[in-house]
Amino acid sequence: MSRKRHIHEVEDLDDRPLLQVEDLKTHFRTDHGLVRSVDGVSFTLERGRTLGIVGESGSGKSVLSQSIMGLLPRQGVVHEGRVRFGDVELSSASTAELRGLWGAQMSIIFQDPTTALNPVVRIGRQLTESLRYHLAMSRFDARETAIALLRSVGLPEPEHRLRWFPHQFSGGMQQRIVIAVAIACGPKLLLADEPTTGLDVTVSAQILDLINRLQQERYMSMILVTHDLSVVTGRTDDVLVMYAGKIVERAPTATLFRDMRMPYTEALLRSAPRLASPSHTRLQAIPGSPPNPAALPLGCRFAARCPYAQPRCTAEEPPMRDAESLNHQFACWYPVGTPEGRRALEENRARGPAAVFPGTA
Amino acid sequence: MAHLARLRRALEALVTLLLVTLVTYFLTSKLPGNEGAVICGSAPVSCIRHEDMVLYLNHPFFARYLHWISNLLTGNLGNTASPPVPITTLLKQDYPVTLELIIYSQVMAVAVAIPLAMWGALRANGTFDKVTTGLTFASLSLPYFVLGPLLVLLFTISKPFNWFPGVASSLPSIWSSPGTNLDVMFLPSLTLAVGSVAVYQRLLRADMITTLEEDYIVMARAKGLSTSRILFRHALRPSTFTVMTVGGVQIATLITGAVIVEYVFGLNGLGSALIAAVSSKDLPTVQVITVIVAVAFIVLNFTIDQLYAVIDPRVRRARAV
Repeated sequence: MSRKRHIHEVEDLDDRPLLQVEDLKTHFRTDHGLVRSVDGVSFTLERGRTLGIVGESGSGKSVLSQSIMGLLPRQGVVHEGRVRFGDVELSSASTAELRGLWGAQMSIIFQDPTTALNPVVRIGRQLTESLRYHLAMSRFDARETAIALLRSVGLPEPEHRLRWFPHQFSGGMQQRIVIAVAIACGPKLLLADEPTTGLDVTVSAQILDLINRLQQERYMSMILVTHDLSVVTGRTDDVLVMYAGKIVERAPTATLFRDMRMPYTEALLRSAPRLASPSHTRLQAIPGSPPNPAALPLGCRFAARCPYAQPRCTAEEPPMRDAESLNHQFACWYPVGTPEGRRALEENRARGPAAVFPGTA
Repeated sequence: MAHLARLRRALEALVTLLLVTLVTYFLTSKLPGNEGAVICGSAPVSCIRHEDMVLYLNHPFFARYLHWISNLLTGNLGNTASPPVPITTLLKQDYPVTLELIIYSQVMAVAVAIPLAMWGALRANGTFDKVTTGLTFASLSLPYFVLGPLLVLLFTISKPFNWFPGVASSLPSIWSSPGTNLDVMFLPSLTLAVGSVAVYQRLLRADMITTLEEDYIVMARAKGLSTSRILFRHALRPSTFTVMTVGGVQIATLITGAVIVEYVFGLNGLGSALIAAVSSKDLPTVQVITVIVAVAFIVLNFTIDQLYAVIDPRVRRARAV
């Protein structure tokens, strides 16, 4: 039997972005109603660029990454909008077409390396199977490539480790293996979905550096999904901030940190520990929790937790609008760092924390 | 260390075996009628002078048990009650039939259950899943003594469906003429298999649904692997634990089933031998067959226990530590 399989080669069209997402909606039909996890997300990603997607857990960012790849089931899920990858329309692609792209042209790194590897399959086979499947490599070539891959992700003595099972490695090493699996066939797009959540801080930094190095060496486009703003600092070109299934602010990474407009972004930054801030700086947790995606409020979805919120926020949904700085957009009526915003914040402070909306107390 | 743990398990199994023989011996000795009368049956009074008889009447229970078990361990299974024929001769003819019946039926059951379970799990609560689950559930409530005669009526008697040889056809050895043998054994094995299909399909389907939700399956999909490769290479092995465990216990049901199936299809297996022995109050034969069944059960479950380690490397390691 021939092991050759058809791989859809994505055309290199220099002027067109690698990934175009237009008004993507992913809604789950559940017993509690329609859960609107991703609710109209649009962005483009150029070849070789990196994009951070930041939001709390429950903001829909993980669903977004699986939705972009088309990994979510078709039954019970409403998919709307368009995802264009190179010259392929993913939203209307058949399963067979997607299968030719998955692993070969686009890959995903999952959150938890301890569950992402099959516990009963040797890591050698988990690495070589996609090589043999997509690139029709011989057993020998696949083995050699697997060793090279493991070496490139910094796994010591890869020749001897191919016959090991996942549980014989530490969490950090397992994530290195997952990364090796993801980049095995040389994908053009790498989605990293909270790749360091389960790891301790030092290992986490190593893994992020590794992903960044590989992304640059292999000229991949990358989407880095995280709940931690400090993770994207200095690692991604652009950042999208997501809240309750929507993008609430987008900007080049440096601009976002310097000149954020959305109160939610500000709150996220205050809730994350930063190396630059003096020690013992108090972290400020964002009060409350994201709205139930099955029963989203009118107006701005962050209003109930927002220190800037005014009556207008719960009545009218703010549209995305341009900030002064280039490529910077946000969705807020009383943006941070503007006279309106400052006034709104002062008014709220004068009234006391529970004055504006009973929900915030 | 792993070997030490395995040795301990083997010893445990051995102790269980001894206990099983003790219980078997105790229970069968309490069958109606006293042992002496049972052993002699309708034999003449001169039988009472028989050395076995003397032993039975003059010794307490444990002494008799020890005598019996030591004979058993040295391979001396004793004679049937009347006429006195070595039980080994009887078993040599009968055990291959039962063994084949069970293996054949389980091969059938597994061959049918795995694809049904996989396909059902893949589209859980879809039409196919609902229909198969309904059918297997219905088949669970079909007793062997109904299904057997039904199959005989349908597939052996009248044209155009008389594909299989009828009841009580002579059964050639599987080694000399495998074709005819498998032909004759097909319907009996099918009768026995139907219930097992239901059990295996339901358990495997349930475990499979859980497995298919695992991250590593999503990851396998994200590698672009084909559905069949994901199912067989990634999802099947981690989903087999419950089926294996229950499969081991299931063997007990199968032996009971074999008794009925052999009787329905007129096969001379251990089951028929057991029925014959019970109805003629042939106590020694009943004891030996019961012990053989118990031994088979324990050995099989011990083997399955060892198989977990083969299937799941994490168990292998846990044992080693």
